[in-house]
Amino acid sequence: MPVASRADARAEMYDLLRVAWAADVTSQDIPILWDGKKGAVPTAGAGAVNAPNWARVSLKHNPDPTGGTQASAGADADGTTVYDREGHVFVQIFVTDGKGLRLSDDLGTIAQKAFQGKTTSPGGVWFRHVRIVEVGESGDWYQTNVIAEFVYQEVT
Amino acid sequence: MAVNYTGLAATAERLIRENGREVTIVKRIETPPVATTPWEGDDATAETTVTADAVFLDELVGGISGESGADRTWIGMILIAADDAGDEDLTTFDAIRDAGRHVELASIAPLKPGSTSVIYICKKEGG
Repeated sequence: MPVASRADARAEMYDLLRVAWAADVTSQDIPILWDGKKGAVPTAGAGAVNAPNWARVSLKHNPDPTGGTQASAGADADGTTVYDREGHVFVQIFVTDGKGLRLSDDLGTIAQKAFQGKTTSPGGVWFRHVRIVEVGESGDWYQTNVIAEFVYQEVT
Repeated sequence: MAVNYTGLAATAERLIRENGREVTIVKRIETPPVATTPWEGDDATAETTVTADAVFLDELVGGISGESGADRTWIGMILIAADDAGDEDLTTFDAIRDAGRHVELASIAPLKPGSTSVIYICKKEGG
């Protein structure tokens, strides 16, 4: 079933990660900064050895000057039209640098599994090419990105 | 001989009233995100305010060597009569509004040698 709005699609996608992140003891205490919300990057504080682990989530629709490919042949009897929408979900994971990559790998896997092979309900957003990308050192952290391509249909 | 801190607090309050000016002390109250939709919401903040008299001064720290004073460091301080706090704990407050000027606070702590708070000493963010 197509989603009714872009906001609904975003909420369904973000909720997949929220639920998966909260369900795993490895990730549940690690804060997520959500795109568009105010929130400070955790800091270690003066003299502290460990920079706190954290993650940031964002979602970008692919630019489409036509506003999206029309998926239906024309307007339905009720005047609505269905459009295809595509884009990427980005999960940036930052773990304390210098302590090995196990936590980084585990968190990346949790985020990957949140989207891989999943379809949201009721909007039917589905994902492909869900991948983990090791970025490397980033300030006080080691950064790993999880990137998921999404596809859905929006009825307008 | 016991020190009369209540008397000291009253003296501090009188001196600040005579030499200070009225300011508004502000505590921001962040709206916590909804657990099931933490990506939504407007992060609107509410405020608790206290009106108080305050004295602004600069505290000299570090050395005072040299004639030019170029190596001197000054830290902006604000003194508030403890009695103005009423029932509020000013150590949880964030900022001061002073005649349209907004001053973020790096710290705010009571001078409380006994059970009586005499004054609150605030330090401005960034000195």
